[in-house]
Amino acid sequence: MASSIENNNEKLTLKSSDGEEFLVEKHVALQSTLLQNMLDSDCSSADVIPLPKIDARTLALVLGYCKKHADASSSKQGELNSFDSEFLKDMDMGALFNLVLAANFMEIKGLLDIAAQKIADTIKDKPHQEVREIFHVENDYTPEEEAAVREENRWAFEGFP
Amino acid sequence: MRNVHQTLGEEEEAGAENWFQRLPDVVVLHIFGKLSDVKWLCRCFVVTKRFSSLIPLVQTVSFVTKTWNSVFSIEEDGDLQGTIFLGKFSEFLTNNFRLAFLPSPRLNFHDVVFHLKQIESLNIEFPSHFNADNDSY
Repeated sequence: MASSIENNNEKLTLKSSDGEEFLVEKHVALQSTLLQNMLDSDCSSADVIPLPKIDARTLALVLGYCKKHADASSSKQGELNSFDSEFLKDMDMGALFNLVLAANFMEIKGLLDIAAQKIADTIKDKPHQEVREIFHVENDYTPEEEAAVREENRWAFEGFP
Repeated sequence: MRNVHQTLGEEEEAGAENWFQRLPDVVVLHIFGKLSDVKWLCRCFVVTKRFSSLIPLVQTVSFVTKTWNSVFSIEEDGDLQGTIFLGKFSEFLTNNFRLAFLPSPRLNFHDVVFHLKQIESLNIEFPSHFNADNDSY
């Protein structure tokens, strides 16, 4: 925040897992605690920073989020909130999981929170069979085990199929 | 962008991929912490064994009290400070967090806090028609 205008104009290059390079303004990159820590240490902004776990499509989304949040003034929280909900709207499950992984890896708390909330909202209100289908989670319980676990949590299934 | 499309195509071929398999435990726990009612959390026990093993580690538990009817006691230094209706809360804690509670539905607050080392945040939503007449102080 206290950095000079000169510093704010600095740019750094991020490289996705699939080899695409992204030129990013430093104040945008600072939304990521991971990048902030790298810049605070001996990492020069002239270096290309590889992000081997994040593909170009996901990184573009992440940087779009960071730019919006870095550029918005603190008085525009309402605008940021509507940006956040639009940002994840209609996003397919694969992209959402890539995003939550990237946010976790790059330590971008706001993005991690909204992506995790979106996944949690998908779990809510749904029978466990449907949760398995949506996320392709394999049922590794035997029918007997499943019945026993369900019985232990019977109260949570009241009024549910 | 060619590379991007190629990568996406490969991912789509593996369409039956378990999305949660890719997430480290810490991220799954973060998602569980966003479930606004402990009822949804408890239903997740039945989804898969991994979920079942992670749920007891959740740090944020939220619940609403509107359908609950038994009693949760808050005691401090042996003096009864207050009693609130939380009903199935005791059953939930006993079953899912493997706590050794007294058979009584009255729980000692210190015991709860002592055992739930992982929980950092407890959100309680009371119904707007909460009947204070049933509360004893």
